[in-house]
Amino acid sequence: MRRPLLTTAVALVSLLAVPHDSAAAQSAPNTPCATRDIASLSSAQVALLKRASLDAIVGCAALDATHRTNDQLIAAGDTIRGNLVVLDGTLRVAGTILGSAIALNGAVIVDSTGRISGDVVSAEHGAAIAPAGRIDGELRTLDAIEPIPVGPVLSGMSGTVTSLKHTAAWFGILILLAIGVLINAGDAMQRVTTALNAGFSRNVTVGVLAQIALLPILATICLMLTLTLLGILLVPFAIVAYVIAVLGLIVLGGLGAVQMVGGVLARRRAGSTERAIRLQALVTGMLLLSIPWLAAAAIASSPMAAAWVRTLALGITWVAITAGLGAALRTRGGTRSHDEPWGIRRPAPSGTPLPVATPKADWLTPTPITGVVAVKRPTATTGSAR
Amino acid sequence: MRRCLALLLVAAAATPLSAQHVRTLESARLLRDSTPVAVRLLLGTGTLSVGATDAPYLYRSISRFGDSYLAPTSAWNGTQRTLTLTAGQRNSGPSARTADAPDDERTQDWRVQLTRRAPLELTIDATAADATLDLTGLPLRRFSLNTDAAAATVRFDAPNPESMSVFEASVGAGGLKVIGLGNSGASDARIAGDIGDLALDLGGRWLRDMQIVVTSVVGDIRITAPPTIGIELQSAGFFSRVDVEGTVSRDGKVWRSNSFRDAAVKVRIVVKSMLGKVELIQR
Repeated sequence: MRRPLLTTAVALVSLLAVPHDSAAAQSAPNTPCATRDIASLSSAQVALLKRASLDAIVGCAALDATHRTNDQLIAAGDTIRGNLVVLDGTLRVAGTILGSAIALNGAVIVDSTGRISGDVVSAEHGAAIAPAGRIDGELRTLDAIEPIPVGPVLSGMSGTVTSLKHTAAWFGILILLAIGVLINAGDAMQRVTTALNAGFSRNVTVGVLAQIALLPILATICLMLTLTLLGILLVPFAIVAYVIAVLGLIVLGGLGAVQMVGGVLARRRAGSTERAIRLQALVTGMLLLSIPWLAAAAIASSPMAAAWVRTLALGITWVAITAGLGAALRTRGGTRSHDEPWGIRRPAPSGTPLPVATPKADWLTPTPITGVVAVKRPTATTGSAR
Repeated sequence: MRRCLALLLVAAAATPLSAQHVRTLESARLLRDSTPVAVRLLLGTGTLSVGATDAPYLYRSISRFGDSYLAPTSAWNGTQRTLTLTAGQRNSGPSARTADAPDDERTQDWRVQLTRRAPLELTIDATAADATLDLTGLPLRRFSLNTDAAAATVRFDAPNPESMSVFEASVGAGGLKVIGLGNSGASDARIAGDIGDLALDLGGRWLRDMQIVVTSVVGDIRITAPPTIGIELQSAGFFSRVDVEGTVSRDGKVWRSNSFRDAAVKVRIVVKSMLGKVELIQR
């Protein structure tokens, strides 16, 4: 049982390392910045300002400012109220700026009489401050404005194509994973599939119960280990082993469910090997279960509809994995048949004795097995003797 | 079937990777006066080096970070005199690349220089970062280092201009090396390590007695001390043994320098080690 579990768990961990679809992961604020005084700027300069405003280092001050181009001097005695942005030139401050001073594609020089109440930001050309110059905020110099647009990048056709590519990539990786499990733990997966075919709802129930019990079981194991000094040292290892075992069961069960779904449609051709039939069932099942995900990716340009379809796809996938987990547990990781009772299985010796009814409690006494009582006691008989 | 698999492999390989990009941000804040400041450095992952600066800044931070990280941030409260600098936080946004990112995109180097002109209470919290902290010349009144998984080196090559109340260092896994603890000017030191070796060099200019508590779960503890100070080492370990080298005598679970009674500066060390070797070298 260990090898299939380990193989599948390692494969799943490698899967988790693949980056997720980034549609939901946005780090930049989406609130629009107040914009003023950009009518006279070129489209390239406006684009630069928008990029700068999305950059956490510059922020909205890039747009909510007085904008000037080329070299600029704020003479001693002059006062600028609000932020000042200079594009493609050097900003020299000998007067006062009651706000931030920003130079994009240029430097900021603060003379000894200069005073800036906000931050000083210079992109790509650095900054210089005279010893008596005063900056109340922070001085930031950066080598470049963030070149990658931060914000909702998945929009329109490009977003759809990207989502489809991600889905296809996941599909390919899952197929590779399935092939690996098929080669290394094909029989175990087959037992899981058989258990699923025997009763889907029962497996779902077991799977749900298992998911509920996962954390309490882990907590109990850790608690019991902490009772001894040696056990405390083993807690991290126990946690890792437990996680690997659970991941292995999930992957084995999930692929078993996929094989069950695909098995309904897979065609059995004459001369096909058992492994080829299973692979065909896996690919078919994977395709079927991918349809909702592909549909969600195809309508990525409509966020609301995509979210609904993605929720549906998630639900279907969860049910499949839950049933698979239940089946994997019932088959003890695919090592036994699902209808085999729990307990220690001993190898059958030659001349296998027939099953004997469990003796009643009154036979479980240390009394001698001779006399009248022994004569009445049921004994095992071999098949040949029978 | 084979064609289908080949197409899938091509599709998987066609997943786009963003162009790698590393940026450098230098930030600083001018120092107005010499009022004490509480400084807190928060680092997620990467490397951190801390030093002192004579420039008229409260701090100067130089960060080189890839797309996998958010831009460093700073927060200054002029009323309460607190400064928080943050770097090395993972970027979960669209430009983020994590496990499959090229090396450059996972770059996170952070250098911080702090002023020598104002007394500081310095706290460093790092998740998984290699830290080299040269605290030489920094006027520290309190120092605290907390790391989860990182190797850290702390050094004092010259005496602390301020009197330090407590020196705290807690490392999860990775180990800690402290050089010149005598220069720290601390009266109390608490050093804890979960997994990894702890090396304490008690060199430096000692001006007052110190109480040191060292706690280690798994790992060796090595303490080196100059012969000019009196050392008293008390060990309370489970599966640890104590090796002593130099002019030290033993009294049960306590080891003392032969000159402890007459020493001008006395350093008392309590070592609590679960698994590992404790080594005391005084010469």
